Amino acid sequence: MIAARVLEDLAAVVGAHNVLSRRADLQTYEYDAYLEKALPGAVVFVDSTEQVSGVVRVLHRERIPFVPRGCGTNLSGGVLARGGGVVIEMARMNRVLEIDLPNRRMLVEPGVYNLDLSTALQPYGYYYAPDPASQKACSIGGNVGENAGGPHCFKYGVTSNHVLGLEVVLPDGEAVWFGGGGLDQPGFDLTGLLVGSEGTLGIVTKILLRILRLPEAVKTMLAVYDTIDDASNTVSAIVAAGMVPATLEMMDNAVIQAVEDSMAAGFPRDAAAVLILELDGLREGMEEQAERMIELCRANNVRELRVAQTEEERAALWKGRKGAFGAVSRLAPSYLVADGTVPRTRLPETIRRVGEISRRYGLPVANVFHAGDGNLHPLILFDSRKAEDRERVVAAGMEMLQLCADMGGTVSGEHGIGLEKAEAMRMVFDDGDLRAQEWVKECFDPEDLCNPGKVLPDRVSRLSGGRV
Amino acid sequence: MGSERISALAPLYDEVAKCGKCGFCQPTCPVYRTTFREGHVARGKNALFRNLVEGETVLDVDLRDSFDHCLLCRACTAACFPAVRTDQLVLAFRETYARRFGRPTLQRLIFRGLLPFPDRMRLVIRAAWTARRLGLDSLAARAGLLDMINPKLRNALEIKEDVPARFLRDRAADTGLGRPSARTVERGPAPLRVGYWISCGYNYMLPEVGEATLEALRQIGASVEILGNACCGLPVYGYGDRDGARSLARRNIELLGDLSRFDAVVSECGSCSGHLKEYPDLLADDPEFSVRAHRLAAMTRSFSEFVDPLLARTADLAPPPAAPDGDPDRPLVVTYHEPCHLGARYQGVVTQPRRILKSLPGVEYRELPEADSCCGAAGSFNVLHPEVAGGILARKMERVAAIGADVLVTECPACLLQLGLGVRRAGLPVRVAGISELVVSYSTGQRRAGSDRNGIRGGVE
Repeated sequence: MIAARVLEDLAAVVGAHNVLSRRADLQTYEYDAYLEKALPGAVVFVDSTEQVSGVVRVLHRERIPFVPRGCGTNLSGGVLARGGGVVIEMARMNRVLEIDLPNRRMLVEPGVYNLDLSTALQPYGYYYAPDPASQKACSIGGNVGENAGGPHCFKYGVTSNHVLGLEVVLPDGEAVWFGGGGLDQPGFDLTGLLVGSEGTLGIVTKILLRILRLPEAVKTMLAVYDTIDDASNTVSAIVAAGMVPATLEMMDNAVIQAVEDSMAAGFPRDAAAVLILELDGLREGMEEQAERMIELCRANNVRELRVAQTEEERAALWKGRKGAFGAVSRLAPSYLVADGTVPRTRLPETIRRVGEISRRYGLPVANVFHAGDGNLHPLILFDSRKAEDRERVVAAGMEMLQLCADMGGTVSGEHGIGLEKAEAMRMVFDDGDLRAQEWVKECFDPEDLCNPGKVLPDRVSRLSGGRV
Repeated sequence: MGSERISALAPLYDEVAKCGKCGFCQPTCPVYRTTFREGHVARGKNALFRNLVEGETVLDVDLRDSFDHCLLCRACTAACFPAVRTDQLVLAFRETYARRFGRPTLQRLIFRGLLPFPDRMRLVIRAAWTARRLGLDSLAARAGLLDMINPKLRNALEIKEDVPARFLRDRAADTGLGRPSARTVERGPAPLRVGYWISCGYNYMLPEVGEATLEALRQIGASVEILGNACCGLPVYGYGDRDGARSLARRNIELLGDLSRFDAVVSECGSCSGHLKEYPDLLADDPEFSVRAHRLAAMTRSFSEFVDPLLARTADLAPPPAAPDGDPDRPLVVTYHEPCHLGARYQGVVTQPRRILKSLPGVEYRELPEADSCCGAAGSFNVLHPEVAGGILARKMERVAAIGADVLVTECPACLLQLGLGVRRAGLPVRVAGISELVVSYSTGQRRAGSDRNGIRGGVE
């Protein structure tokens, strides 16, 4: 419960109709795309940096925790207001402020949809590269918070490689700028620190993004395999050969079946795995590169190769990949997307052991991966209405993360840590490592007000004297 | 009593459990794009609905805001991987809520005492329109009388600024349009015998569009009989009064009588034709009416759905090149707004109206971005939530302005009124026209659709 007096102070900043505190309204902000729930104490809609500052000042004064929220597509519980804090809703701050073609950058507010960035740039022949699967529905502010990835990040890098500068409201309400136009900023790389900090160090209110020319040519192909090992070996061979395709996406048989059931994308149902390989760049040399990639597929026992000859054929290949989550979602009432990363060479072994975990828990798994990055997305099927299922799916997901860590990988690829994986941080960091991260948090947010209980595990928080 | 009432929602538990809260419904929801309130998008409604079923929340007035803010446009379901039918959840909520807390008296009176009876409707609306023309409405508004009945009525005054002196049914009777005609042309194995479904929107608000429909059907060579139907029942259904909607469906089937005298039942109202096609679902468990509902649905056609194949295959019916006014070399730029109940998410009538418009000589057809996104009318949504509807409409108008259309065509009276309001507010030099108006104006050589009318739906010249 937030005291009426505080609600009035918040209303004085943003207007009474932009403060929600009725239970029914709050219940629509107690979730994101992860499994857990946390009822916020209030929801405040903001429309400008000044309003964010004003709201944060009130909450800081009152020592009430808060969390920024954009579109709520977070997969790790990152925007849940643990402990009844205040949700600061950023979705209305959705303006494209400036497109600066000569300097190849754009200035935007955090609520702009990822896909709308490229839509705004498309008439000029430019685009924004990181393309998370949720790009239609997720906001760039959330992408910055989570350091989001996507299929094309194998070649172009994740969000942090595309953020040049940030305007940030610090946890005490002061608005500051990190970074800016130049490639090498004097002083500490605080922009780099903020990207991926999941709203725990401050609230991003403006984002200066790097933009890219649309590629002159694109070549997309589908490679069909009888074993996951052959598909994985192809990926490793392509990377080892020094090639940098735009995407190296893999889907396993369970996903292929689901895709065929729901949209008949033309994937062979008996294949163990398919790869979607895409080259982009200059027209010149594209054919040679494609030939070379095809050779590598053949050397690794590819069963069948389909090269898209037209834009329609390209779209058809991608339709199966982009619809994969959707297709899988028809197999069971719910699914949990696990998100871990392993060294590419250990993909086949990891997949086998993911299968073992799945069988042990009696929860089916379908696999989609950004194979080039070694980033796995096992979709674990369950029924969220059953308490027992919910417990088992969380446990199975944790085992898969432990597996990734054991394989020499890590517990996240692109979905963030949030509250889902805060404890899993221990799988890859020791107390000393975590303590160093705590120092950063304490330096920015000594009161632990800004999205508390996320990213870092609880025990370390308690040791440091912070709130939980 | 609470648990007993809410158990009415339990059959939809499987449906709502499919929602994985991914958020893909947000960018396609016209309401969410205007308010950015999670309670106004499908995901929020699904969450509240699920909480209700699981006993995590109680059925009370606080939930209404969320379930009231739905256009029933189904854009969420179209964007949803597991295709959660949030429209069905909203209807079930509205029904359950009304059962618990009762319906407003005015609503009950209209649903049960007025809509099923065309004669009463005619009298009441005639009285209302007469009052309006005499300026009594603004008098009543000033005196606070309108607010006593329902403050929302004020919003309706802006949507429709003037009212027709005579209704379509009366005008058609005067001119002889809509009487079975001897001019019936043989086409294929049987003549085209059309039952014209008279929508309330055209009858009481936009009779001139209804006349254009009748004229277009005549030109195609159909023999047209105006049906004696009452309200199709969609507004009643939309308010979650399923029983009321069922009785209206039955009543209409009775009013239509023997359907074997028609080859098709045609309506230019996307909502009516869409809802008639849902009669079989509505009456599925009614042994007496189920078969007739199927029969009616099977022969129901939206105007463009009916006309498109005839225009396409009959060269002699292609509209003659029009005598252009103004610049003879500039094509008339026409665009199209797809009514929710007509388009991809309800009837699937998508290509036909566009093909008709493209076939008109001297027309340059430009596809409106987000053409299938709701305009905000949605029955009485624009009366009940004028600010939200206005935001939705403003977004639509930005797109209309950007593509530089001369004429904005659609196939639904509610959309026509709403879009007309939109161009007036935005000050756009755009004419809003029913699709039959354009077809007819071409056939009769008037180039500018609706330009000779004292444009209730028109924009700024």
